[in-house]
Amino acid sequence: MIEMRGIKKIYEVGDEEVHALDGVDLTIRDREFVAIIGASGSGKSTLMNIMGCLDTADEGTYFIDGEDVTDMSEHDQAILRNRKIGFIFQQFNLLMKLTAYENVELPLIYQGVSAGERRSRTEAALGRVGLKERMHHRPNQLSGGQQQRVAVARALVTNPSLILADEPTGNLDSRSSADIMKLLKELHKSGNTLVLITHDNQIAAQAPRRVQIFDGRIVADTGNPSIAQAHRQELEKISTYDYDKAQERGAE
Amino acid sequence: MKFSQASKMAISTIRSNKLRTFLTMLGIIIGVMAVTLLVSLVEGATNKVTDSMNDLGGDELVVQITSTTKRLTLHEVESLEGSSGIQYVSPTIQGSDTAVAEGNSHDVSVVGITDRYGDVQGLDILNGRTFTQTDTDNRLNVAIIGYGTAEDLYGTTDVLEQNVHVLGRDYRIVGVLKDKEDSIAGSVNDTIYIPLTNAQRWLKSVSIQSFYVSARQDRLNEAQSHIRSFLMDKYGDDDNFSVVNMADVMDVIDQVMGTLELLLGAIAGISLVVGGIGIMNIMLVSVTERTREIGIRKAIGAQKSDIVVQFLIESAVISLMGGVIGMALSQLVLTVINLAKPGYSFAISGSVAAVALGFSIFVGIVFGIYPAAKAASLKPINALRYE
Repeated sequence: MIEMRGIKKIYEVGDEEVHALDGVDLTIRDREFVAIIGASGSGKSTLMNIMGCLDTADEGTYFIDGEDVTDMSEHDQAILRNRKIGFIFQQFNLLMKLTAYENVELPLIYQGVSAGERRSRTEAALGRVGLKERMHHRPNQLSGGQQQRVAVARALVTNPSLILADEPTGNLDSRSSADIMKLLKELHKSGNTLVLITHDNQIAAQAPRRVQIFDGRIVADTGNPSIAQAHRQELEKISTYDYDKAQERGAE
Repeated sequence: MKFSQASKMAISTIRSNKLRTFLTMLGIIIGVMAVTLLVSLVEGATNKVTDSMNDLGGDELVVQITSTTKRLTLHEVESLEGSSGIQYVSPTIQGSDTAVAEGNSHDVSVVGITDRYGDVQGLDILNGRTFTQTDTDNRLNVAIIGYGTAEDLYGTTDVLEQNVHVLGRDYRIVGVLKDKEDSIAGSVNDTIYIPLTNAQRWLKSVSIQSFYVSARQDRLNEAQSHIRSFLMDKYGDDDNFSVVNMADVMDVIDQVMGTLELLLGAIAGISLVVGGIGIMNIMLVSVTERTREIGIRKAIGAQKSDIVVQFLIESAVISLMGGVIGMALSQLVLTVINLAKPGYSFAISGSVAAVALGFSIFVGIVFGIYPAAKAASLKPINALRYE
């Protein structure tokens, strides 16, 4: 269970302050599959970084499974990332000097899991993504789709509360994309909480719940229709603002 | 994360970057080699000098008479024996000539000695005997010859009772000395010893030119001052003689060698520090180059300490390996020198090895800490975004 209240993140670019996130409220229940949609610069990556404890918010509160992450020490945040969050990145972010097996095993090593258990869990995770036969290959001996599947295996090997996928199909051809999406849906079905960040409406459409983010704010949430309504009303107050146009831009 | 896991990671990184690892190690290899080689060479040389000095006698006085006007008689010298801590007195007279036997000739130094010579300076007899009181008292034409002289003249050392022609007469050989390399004391191999009384006559030198004095236990200084005052009484001026205490000479040599060792060690130590800075440079570059890797590791749950330990082990292992390789190379060089120059036995002493290895690990850890800490304190998102 993810609970974010009033999350703000401000970057200083020169003399100007950029509000990457401007008061985000978001609740994600266990076993949900949520797509966060937004154009580049909308703040969705910042949201994902804060959600994954890779970055900290300037304002607001953030709870994971009832645990307050807002003022957590660096040490505890590392433990949290290790045990509760699994990352899938657009760039795969595998260690190139390690084999697929070693990459997947790494989070378990940092967790201090015994060698025997590491072996069985690593092999099971690689089995789930269908790469058991290629587990002793290095990333540069694997195709893009296969590399992303290694990353998926690495994300799920620790059995995390939350799997965060940041544009997981962004660097893949359509066929590999379809494979990865199929895999992610399977993970959701088998009980994982999944947050998918994308700019692609077609990919987002495959998630049961879609959250749209624009200019650092949530402007639509299929899990909470009142938000869109509230947003529309707010925009109507500002006569110069064309909501539909904004919607279009957000969906690009 | 366990230490063993961190070591595995560090070692796999080292192995997958062989060239970088080697270049990093080079500084330490050269540093450790310089330190161990220089210190071992100086130590070996010191031992060599000390050994030679011990051949001369470590606890003896060497008296040289430079006066040509006043004679020092054998009787006067021998009368010194027994008083004021003086144990034995061994006078000598030296000259040189060409020895001839069986149609061969050999240039030799001829040394007249008494039966005390063996007690004070030492004579290593291979065959036969040393001189006795009888030989000296009767001025007998007997000789003890060096190994090399025997070999050159006769082609064998089995020459007892043969005659050797030197100083215009035949001497009966009663002893042959063991083979001995040249030392500060001169070449024993090219020497013929004859009784002092005989030498006084045929070298035409009645006055004693030099004598060695051995003292009783712990009474060397007493003996020295006694001999000095005796000679002052006789010659009235210490320009006419010299009394050298071999223990003093040894002390001076030890001091000089010790200073030299320290100096060279310090110079070599500088190269170790330079090697350490090389490690730091490479580790800093390596951290920058691997920022993304650090970001990935942190994203999947590595603690700051995990990253620090990984980088620290990496630099410590690199410098330790450099230390071991440097030591192996200097051992190799020393072995080659030992083979090329027989009689020298250069070796790396345990303490030098310990200091060099300890220092190289120390350098690795000290110069590894800064880059390691820098790497570990990056925010995961900043490290991940790094290009």
